[in-house]
Amino acid sequence: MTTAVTQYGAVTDEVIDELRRLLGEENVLIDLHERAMRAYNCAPAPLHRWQDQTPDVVVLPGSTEDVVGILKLANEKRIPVTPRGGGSGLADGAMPLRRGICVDIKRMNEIFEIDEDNMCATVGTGINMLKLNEVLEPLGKIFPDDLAGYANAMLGGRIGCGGWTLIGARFGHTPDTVISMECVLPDGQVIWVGGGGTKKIRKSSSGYRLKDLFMQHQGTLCIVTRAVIELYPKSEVEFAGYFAFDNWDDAYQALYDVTTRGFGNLSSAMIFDDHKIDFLRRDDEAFIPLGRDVRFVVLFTMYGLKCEVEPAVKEGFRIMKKLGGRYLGPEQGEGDWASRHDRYHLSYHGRTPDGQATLMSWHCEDTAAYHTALPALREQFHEIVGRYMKQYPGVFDDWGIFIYTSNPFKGWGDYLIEIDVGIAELQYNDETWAAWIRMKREIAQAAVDMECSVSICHGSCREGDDDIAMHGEMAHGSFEIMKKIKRMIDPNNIMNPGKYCLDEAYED
Amino acid sequence: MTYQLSKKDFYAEPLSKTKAIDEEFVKEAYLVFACRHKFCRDICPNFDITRNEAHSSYGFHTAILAISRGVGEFDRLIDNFTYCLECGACELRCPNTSMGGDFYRRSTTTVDLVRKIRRDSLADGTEIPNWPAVKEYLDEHRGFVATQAELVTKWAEGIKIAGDMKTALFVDFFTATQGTEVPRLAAQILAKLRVKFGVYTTPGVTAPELLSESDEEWKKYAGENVENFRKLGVETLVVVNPHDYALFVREYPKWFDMDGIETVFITDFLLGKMKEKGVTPPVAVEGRFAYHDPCTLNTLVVEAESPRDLVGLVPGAEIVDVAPANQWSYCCGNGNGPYRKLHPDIAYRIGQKRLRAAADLGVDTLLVACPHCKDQFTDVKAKSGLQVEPVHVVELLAKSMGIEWETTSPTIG
Ligand SMILES: Cc1cc2nc3c(=O)[nH]c(=O)nc-3n(C[C@H](O)[C@H](O)[C@H](O)COP(=O)(O)OP(=O)(O)OC[C@H]3O[C@@H](n4cnc5c(N)ncnc54)[C@H](O)[C@@H]3O)c2cc1C
Repeated sequence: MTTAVTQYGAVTDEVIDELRRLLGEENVLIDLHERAMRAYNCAPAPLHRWQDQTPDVVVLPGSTEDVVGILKLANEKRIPVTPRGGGSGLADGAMPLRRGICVDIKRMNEIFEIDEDNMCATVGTGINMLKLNEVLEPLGKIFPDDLAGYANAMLGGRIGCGGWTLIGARFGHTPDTVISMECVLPDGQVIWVGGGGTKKIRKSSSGYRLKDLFMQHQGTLCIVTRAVIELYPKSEVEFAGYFAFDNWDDAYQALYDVTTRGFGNLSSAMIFDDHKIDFLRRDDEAFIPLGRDVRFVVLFTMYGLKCEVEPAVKEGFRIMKKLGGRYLGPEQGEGDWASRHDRYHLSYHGRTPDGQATLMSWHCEDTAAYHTALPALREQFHEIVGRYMKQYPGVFDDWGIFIYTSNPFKGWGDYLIEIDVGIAELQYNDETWAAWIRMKREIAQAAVDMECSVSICHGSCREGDDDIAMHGEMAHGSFEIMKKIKRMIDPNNIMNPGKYCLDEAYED
Repeated sequence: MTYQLSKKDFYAEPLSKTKAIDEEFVKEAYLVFACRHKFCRDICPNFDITRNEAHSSYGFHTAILAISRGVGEFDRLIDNFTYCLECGACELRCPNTSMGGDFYRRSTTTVDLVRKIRRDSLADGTEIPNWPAVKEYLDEHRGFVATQAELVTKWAEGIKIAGDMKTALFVDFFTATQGTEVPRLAAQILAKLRVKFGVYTTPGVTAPELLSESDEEWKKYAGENVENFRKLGVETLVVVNPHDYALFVREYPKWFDMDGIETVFITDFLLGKMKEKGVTPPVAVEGRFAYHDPCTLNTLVVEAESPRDLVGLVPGAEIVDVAPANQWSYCCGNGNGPYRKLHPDIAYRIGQKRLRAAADLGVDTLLVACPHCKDQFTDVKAKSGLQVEPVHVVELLAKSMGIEWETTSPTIG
């Protein structure tokens, strides 16, 4: 963890009193455990030094005006502010590295408008996707931000990270499905940013496209309080087909063929590699048992109208079968795809080298890679994790690789290659934490060496990733511009300080 | 589901300011903290209102983990632990329960945890705001014990009951005093169906509220019940209050041998008997009705179909409602414990939301299968002015069976 370059003000009794005056007593939380449970997000955390990133106070604003009040106060007193949505992030974005005020946005979950004529809705950023879709579905609409952490994440966090969704090959990802946003800047100024300057227009050529600047900044520039989001008609058919392959080469080719065929309704395609299949076999209840002859699985999904999907699925079958893919049947397809938000991990699926069940936490690397980089990265990632497993038996565990389509609105080109790692988080100490950071750095470096990106959706702002991303991947001038922008918008460095190496913007 | 698997012995050891937390308990807390899905949060009806994740299963378990790591204080904990309805939705939705619970013997047991922390806090001398109201309620029930035999049968005045205890109706104090229409009408339906049954007259205080105060006292009453069932030769226990039913399914087997005593919820029993005897209710009750799943059946014991099926037998009656899965986060607001007494305002808002959802469906009746839901909705209706009447499924069935009943239930006690 880097040390602060900025002198911060303390959260004094006077500050707490002022926050209470602004928000009401019940929306200012000071109990230690209330603050401690907002210290982490969903990535394995340094539990052995929990206190270090425990915020000094947690606030629960209910409106844009509340946020304006909080930020004005924080800016005046130079108190660090960390926005927190669902806390499901996997890159420690919501971890308050400099403590200060945690702004928990969950009360801002209002649905302000559902505009069926223009197929958009205006919502508070504290809303969760599952809850939002419960309201939209009876209207025959969906917000297609279908991430694996669907029940957990909030829209604010989706924007904060620039999220990726499982069905983005058809519907786009968070940067595409958010049309415009209301942002509160550190000095309390409220702005709307979109494609141009209006709320509901998707494509505009007016001025700079500021929506993209305020997307995936991990709360380092502003707090997003409202957004206008895209609505889609609910698909008539959601088809998921799983195909078994007995070798990597054919599975990899099948992924290529199905994603480049030109389907208009391909929503996702993915590979479960052999390590992943082995790992899922530990999950007795959730995973439909697969025969030992199944080594790799390729999945494709197609969403849309029945009249479009049915012939496309036939063509998809032809592609898979041509390469030796064996259809695993509708039960596998419907069952596993239905559990796509559940299947990630259970702590008891950790295993020691001698096969004993042990408590582990799930970590997920989210490298963005182009197609031809996938085979080499797959091998390197397993090699790196395998080496650490040998060095630290029972501390790390290779939970296999998923490869997913990630190019918005089209299946080809780039992919998410995700290696999942089990980590004995409860046993973390300085040594194993340091080892873990080294492992992460190696994975990130392998990606950057191949001109891939450290992160497709979580954000490369985690210890172990951030300097490789900022000084490697973003070295060709991008990081320099980021620093200038950061300093201009947030001159006192109060917004989520310590992330993305942005303290460097204030070093002089 | 086998609930005995989730009996956690480490809950027996009281927590306090000074004691370290048992290692198994820490693991338990960690399992929910490390789940990462937080399915438990947005389905929680209380969280739906307060939006404070400290009031969710994730929050409760993480608080325990934090204390074990020195970043939390036991005596400050209780505030959050009052914000639990004990509805069990979070337990059921937790991947530790649904995907590995039985296998690893680690089903998530948030309700037990919440009750434990309340007990330990009270034992530690920590004051719980509004607890006197809970105490008063329990004391009132304790006061009934001396006259319970008389009280528990008072609702049956004028109804001939065979008194064959092989099949016994279990009527608790709440139902015997404030929800009398349910046993009264159920008894009349059973009489029409020529089913022989008796009424169990010494239920003691087994309300779930007691488990938040004293598990030892709860076990004393429950143990006496089991002993009495055996003495009386009870083979089938028909339970009219789903709060009790959930206790019979989830708690009793943890502590007592219930072999040979089958507990059946009233609507399951009625449905079974109607089918067995091939009876179709003769009187049509035309209407579109919404139905509210009680948490005790829907999420705590996952046996939620019979009330709907009973309505299905009533000629002319149609159920319209949202998908049952969505109803996990719908709650009447009463909770399955002291919640409504601890947080009357939030309880009201939860109930209002549910009643409004029914009103939005264009119905004027919300059917329920729980006397506490009915009591709560009656209150919410009066306060909110929402024109949706809560009616127990047994009342609807009775009407369809041609049984006359009082529109206002007699209050006894
Ligand atoms: C089981 C699981 C599966 C997952 N699957 C996916 C997946 O498929 N795709 C994917 O993209 N991600 C996935 N993730 C990661 C995570 O869900 C996403 O990163 C999500 O976008 C985080 O949302 P959140 O609300 O939880 O954000 P948080 O973790 O609370 O915050 C994330 C970042 O956004 C910032 N932020 C939050 N709210 C605001 C706001 N209002 N204004 C400004 N900044 C804000 C925070 O400061 C932080 O930097 C998964 C996570 C889990 C646990």
